Amino acid sequence: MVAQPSSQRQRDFLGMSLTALCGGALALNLLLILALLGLIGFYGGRYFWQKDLLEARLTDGRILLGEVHSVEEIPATQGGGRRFQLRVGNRDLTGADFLWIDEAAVVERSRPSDAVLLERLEWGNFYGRMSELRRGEEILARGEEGVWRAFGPLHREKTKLRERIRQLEKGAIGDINQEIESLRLAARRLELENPPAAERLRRQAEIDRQTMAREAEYEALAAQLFALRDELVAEQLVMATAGGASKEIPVGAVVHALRPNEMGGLAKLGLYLGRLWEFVSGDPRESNTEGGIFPAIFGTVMMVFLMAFAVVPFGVLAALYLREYAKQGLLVRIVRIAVNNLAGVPSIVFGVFGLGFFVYTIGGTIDRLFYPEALPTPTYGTGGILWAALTLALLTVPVVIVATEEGLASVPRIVREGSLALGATKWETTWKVVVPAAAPGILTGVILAMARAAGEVAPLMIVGMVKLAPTLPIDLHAPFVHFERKFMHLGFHIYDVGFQSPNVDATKPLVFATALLLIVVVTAMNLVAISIRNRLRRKYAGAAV
Amino acid sequence: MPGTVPSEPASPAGRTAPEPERSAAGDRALNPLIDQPILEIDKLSLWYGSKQALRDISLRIPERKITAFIGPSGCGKSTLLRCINRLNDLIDGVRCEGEIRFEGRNVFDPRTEINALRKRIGMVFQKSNPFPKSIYENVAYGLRIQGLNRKAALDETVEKSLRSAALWDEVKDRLRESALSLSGGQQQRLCIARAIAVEPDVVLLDEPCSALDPVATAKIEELMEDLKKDFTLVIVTHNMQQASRVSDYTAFLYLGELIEYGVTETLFVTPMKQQTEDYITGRFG
Repeated sequence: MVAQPSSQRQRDFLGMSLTALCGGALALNLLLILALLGLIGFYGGRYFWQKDLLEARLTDGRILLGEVHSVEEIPATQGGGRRFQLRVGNRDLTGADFLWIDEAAVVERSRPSDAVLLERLEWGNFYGRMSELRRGEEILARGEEGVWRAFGPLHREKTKLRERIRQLEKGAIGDINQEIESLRLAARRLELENPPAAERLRRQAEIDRQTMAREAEYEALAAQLFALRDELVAEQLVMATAGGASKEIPVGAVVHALRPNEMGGLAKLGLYLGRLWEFVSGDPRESNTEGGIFPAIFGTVMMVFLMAFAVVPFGVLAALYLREYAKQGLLVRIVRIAVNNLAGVPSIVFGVFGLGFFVYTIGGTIDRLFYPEALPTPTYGTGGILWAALTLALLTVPVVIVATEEGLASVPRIVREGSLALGATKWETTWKVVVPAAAPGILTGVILAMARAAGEVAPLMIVGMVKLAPTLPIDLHAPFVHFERKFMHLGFHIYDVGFQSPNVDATKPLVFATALLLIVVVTAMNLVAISIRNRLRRKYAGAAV
Repeated sequence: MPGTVPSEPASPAGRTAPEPERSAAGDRALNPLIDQPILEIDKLSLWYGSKQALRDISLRIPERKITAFIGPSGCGKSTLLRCINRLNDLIDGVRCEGEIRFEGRNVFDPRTEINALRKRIGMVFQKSNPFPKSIYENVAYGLRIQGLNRKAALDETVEKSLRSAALWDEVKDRLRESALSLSGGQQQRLCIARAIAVEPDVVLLDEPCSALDPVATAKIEELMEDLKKDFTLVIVTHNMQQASRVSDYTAFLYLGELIEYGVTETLFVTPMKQQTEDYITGRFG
């Protein structure tokens, strides 16, 4: 860079400034990553923290109760000052969950200790005060304190009842529905097989008899279910809003009832952790705007593991052939270039290919051959977790091939010769010496592939990912693993809650929380793979890779 | 002897070299009398592409003796060694003429089972090359690929081989550790143990000490002395002192040609060819 040898001091200075430049670039990168994580973590983590409820009396006489969601400056062109966004809830009464209020319009603010926040199964939060608790016409309690005390035990009972209903629906009733469906399919199969009349009649009769039995069972369970549901809504909580309106809410429809202004730090921390757990372990509610995202976590992890199971054998075998067996020449070079370029193909193209090849061609064929009774409803001929995993396996196979090839190339020739000189065949040498030595390199490829796959959304949208799929691809119904099922994915969930939600203001924090979780899930999966790789490296300490 | 380097090529002390009878005077330099050789190299020439690396080499290697190939770098001594177990087959563009007879059968014969041949002719390389496996599995490897998986038999052979390679006492408590955790000299002895575990007839050693320090070198040399009782050893070395210390017969190669072959003592003390004398007295190479 320096044209002619200048003084030693000048050269030292140049070296030092270049080192500083490199260090600075690295520091900037780290800073950006930390800022990204910090921002997402801050916004995502804040979502679960319960803020105090604010009661505000406005100049126009309205009284509002809610949580301050955000604060912003009013541009000077619009008069200046500040305004805040208040989450007032009570969507069933007012229609809007959020209100923007000029600070100038606020006459008086207070934090009433008896203000109650209800998290409901439907219609979102309710903010107000408790005024009455009754069963039918009978009044069980009256007055804020009285109702608050009576509500607690009753609500715990109803929560248990709700859990029983859920188990009944997902358990016994789900089982029977499954059986009735399989009987329907059996009847349809019988029709398609068209056996001799006598046998047909005999089998049809058997199917009818079982169907009748199942339907009777179903009726009984359904009656039980309806009774439970009636019991769930038997008691009504009468709430008064800050504005004076009143609203009856069934006790069974309340998820949580809180008095945030009364809670201490520790209680709030407990609530925070509880909500975090609910978010991670629960099913989504209310078009994904509330509840948890467990199905999305499960779908993401299962899809990535399926993908890894598919991509590792394929990629490793292909790389083995390319590196160890194929005669190195023009053709192999072209193949290698093609593989590398495959990694650069836009992912949506893989999605389209997956739809055409896996879903329509292979899935359609499977349906015609093995599930003709279910047609025209497709079983495998529609998007599903297996097809999504295979599509992503295609997308990531170049990564695995390249990493495996590098791993194989780094095994010294002399080690291979050592094995051959002992009378091992080429295949034995490759399989017993070269591949184990290259294992850390192969795992590096798998790690990269998993990270890439977990973050892909576009191709999945057309091969089996959906907005809502509370039934997991693994359950207790035979055959336990349902590869044909659609699934939820954290990446798509972010998009869905952020931009497709009916209540965008309420779900904005969910975007951050879900993104944070996606990062955590990907990191966790990578850590597992990395720890396996490190174990292998330690085992072969000093190995070439 | 270990660790000491003789100041001049001398006959190894305390060894009685076999006294070959000499036939015609012209052949004397190339053809010591060797009865029933285990390996017979006959008019072997080898080309890498168009470059000839070995020229018409004939020599007979005696059983249960140590035969050394010496010569300056690039003289073809390693190439010659790698012909014996046909490891040169792996290199593209290699062409051979002539024969190497192992127990009377030509190793280049297409009917030769190459894996069976390599099982009987083991090899130790210039750089130690343990597999990325445990010490135990390294030694057991050759047996396992032959389908021997019985634990008792494996244990016995592993111990016997490690003892023969004078490594047992150092590693007996850490057989399950990675072979790569051993020192360079230990690794090389492990490679020797690995080679002799399959009970070959011949062990080829391709400059086995070139990457080792003098102490480790001395250990390997001592070891070769013991191994001679059971195996035929062929060693390539560029270290003339080493050749004179350990070998019974020495072949001197230069530019792909066999210049002189004979009893080590004779070759070093009274070389018959001028080139040999120049080389062993250090005038070139």
